[in-house]
Amino acid sequence: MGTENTYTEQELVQGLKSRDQQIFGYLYDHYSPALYGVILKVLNDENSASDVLQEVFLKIWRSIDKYDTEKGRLFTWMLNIARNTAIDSLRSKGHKLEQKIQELTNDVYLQTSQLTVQPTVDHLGLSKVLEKLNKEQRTIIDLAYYKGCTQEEIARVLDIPLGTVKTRMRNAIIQLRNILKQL
Amino acid sequence: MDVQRYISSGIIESFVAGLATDQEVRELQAAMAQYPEVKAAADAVQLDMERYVTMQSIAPPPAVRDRIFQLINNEGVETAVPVSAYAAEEQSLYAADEPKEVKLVSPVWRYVAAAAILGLLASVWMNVQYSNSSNDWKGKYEALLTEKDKMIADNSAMQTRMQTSEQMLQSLRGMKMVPMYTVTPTRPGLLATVYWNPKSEEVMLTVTNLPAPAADQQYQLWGIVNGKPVDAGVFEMDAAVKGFAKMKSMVPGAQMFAITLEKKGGSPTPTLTAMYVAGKVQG
Repeated sequence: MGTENTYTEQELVQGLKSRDQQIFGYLYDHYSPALYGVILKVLNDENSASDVLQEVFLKIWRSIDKYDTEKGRLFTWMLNIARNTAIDSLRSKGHKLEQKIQELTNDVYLQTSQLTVQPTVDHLGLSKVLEKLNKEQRTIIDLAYYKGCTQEEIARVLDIPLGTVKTRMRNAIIQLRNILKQL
Repeated sequence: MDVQRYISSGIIESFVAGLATDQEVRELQAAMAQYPEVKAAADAVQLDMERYVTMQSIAPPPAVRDRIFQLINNEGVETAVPVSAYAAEEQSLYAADEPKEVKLVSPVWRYVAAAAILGLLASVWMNVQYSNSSNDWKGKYEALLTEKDKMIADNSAMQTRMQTSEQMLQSLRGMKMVPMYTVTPTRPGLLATVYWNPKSEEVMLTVTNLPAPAADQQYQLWGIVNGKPVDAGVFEMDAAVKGFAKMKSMVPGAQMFAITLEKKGGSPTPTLTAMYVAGKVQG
């Protein structure tokens, strides 16, 4: 994709608002792997993840007018749409908490490294991150972010008092950020 | 509020991980609006979380991209079609979405207005000239008669033009609008729009974006009737880009329109590999 045009965030937003399909294609090519990664991790099923990815990009196309530059970056907005849509779909399937934990620990897609499209450095980075985060830290982040678990559910899974969930989450994310800094 | 304490309370991390309750989210958003330190801290955590998430990118199956583009193309057809069957108030809702009508009519109106004003000025000027000049009343009278005849003739010519443009406007109102979009990913962003009246079978075409054809080639419009292509004629790019090209009439049953690139003068059957744009007629 080296020869392709690059667009500023503002150009992307304007292009989408004026229904420019070329810009939309560019957006898809650049961001669909990140969004698909999230969706697949939430749903743990390639078929439903493809359906949700399609739904997510249609939502982006249809509701770009609702995107407000003031409230955050375009990528954050798209990521939120992907995460929320995937978690809604997961909830509609009525998975039990135990099932969600099971899915996170047996994450087949994560282990099949040939599926990732990010440059190798990111993939190495990910292995480092996963290596250095302890199991509890990774579980608490992933249960919240990818499975949409509540504080109560996390307290139950980790068998810790409800009042300490936020502190544990903070520590886990601080650890994550420290690892990222060293990459 | 103790800002530092608030920042280290864990609320920001909970928010970014999607764990915060609705009330906490509102609270944090208010704090972010009020204290730049809180906003900066939240943005930094958000960025790192996004980095962690992006690291886990996975390429989606290639078919999804095509499916999405197909859907948004069809969606364009379904949502942007004003049809005469719509109720009057609904049409007025669509009116704002029809800049092409404005483009079509306004130059004509401008021309009419300019011509009328010029005619009026000329008449005033002649009147002044004649009344200031000699007492040749007869000459003045005859000149005025000539002028009057000329203005009546001009006027009727203008009226004819106005009627034509009004008829065109009326017929556009009764027409289905069929936007045709890119069909192959290798030629992105193409757009041409058919206006078709299934009752009168009249077809007009306007081109927003199509590459210029080679000198020995011409674009040809097709209607698809029960799966079979029906020729709707070739067109000159110039006319279709600047305004509307009048095409051959199309029988009422057409379900789709499409444009292919053919040899100059057109072909009896479309070259499917050279199909540039296509769009469904709204059912």
